[in-house]
Amino acid sequence: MTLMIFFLIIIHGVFSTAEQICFKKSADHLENYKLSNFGELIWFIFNALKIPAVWLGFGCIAVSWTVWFVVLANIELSVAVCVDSMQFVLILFASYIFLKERMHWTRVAGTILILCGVYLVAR
Amino acid sequence: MKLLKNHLTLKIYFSVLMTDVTESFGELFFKKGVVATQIHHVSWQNIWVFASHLLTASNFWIGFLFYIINFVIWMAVLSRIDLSIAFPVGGATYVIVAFLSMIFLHEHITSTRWLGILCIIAGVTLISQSTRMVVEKL
Repeated sequence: MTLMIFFLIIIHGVFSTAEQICFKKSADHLENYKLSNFGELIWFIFNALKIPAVWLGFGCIAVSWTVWFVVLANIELSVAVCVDSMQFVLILFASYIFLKERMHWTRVAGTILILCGVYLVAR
Repeated sequence: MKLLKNHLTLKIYFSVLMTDVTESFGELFFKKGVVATQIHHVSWQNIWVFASHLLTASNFWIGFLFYIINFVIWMAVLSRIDLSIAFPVGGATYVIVAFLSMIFLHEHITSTRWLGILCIIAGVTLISQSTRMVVEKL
């Protein structure tokens, strides 16, 4: 795996994280919908599409997918998916630096485990 | 403080597992679609050819369908449960993708890779659990 591909996977991670945040913010508006039959599901989707953050999320998907397909053309799927877990490490550092979140020991341990895992899979 | 939604019922557990399964199959079909383009190195010169080949590959659209299903289930899950609870169950994706890659793409997963996958799942679980602890402490 070249450095370029690694870099692209990181870009993919950044945009899919942004996407998750958009969707999580939107989903918080949708917790009162029941989903027990098909009609309610359609109503749920209809209301989800009225939330601006959902569309911002779609925009992030467009970028992250484009990058992802270039990655997939170059390396094996099982490797790509594992290296993609680097996004958890990125989120931690970003929230530590920009959001001043506390660095709990389990986070440090988790980060080390993920880095070891990515190294073992991608080497 | 907003109450943490951490009541993981069997139905939600199954739903999260379904998001893993649909995501894994989505990835599998995307990779199959990419393989069908027969382009092994994408650069600025051939990116449009790559895109047009990809968008006409049926496997790409099958993968796309899996992602739509995945998206709907994921949104429903997120509206009922916190990310810190949903993510560890999401660790199953790494294992499912590894098996699918072995069976359908003939990728070779060495024991070192399996070890790596285990480390990643453990790491992801630890990180998401720590979010929960921090929130509970507040």
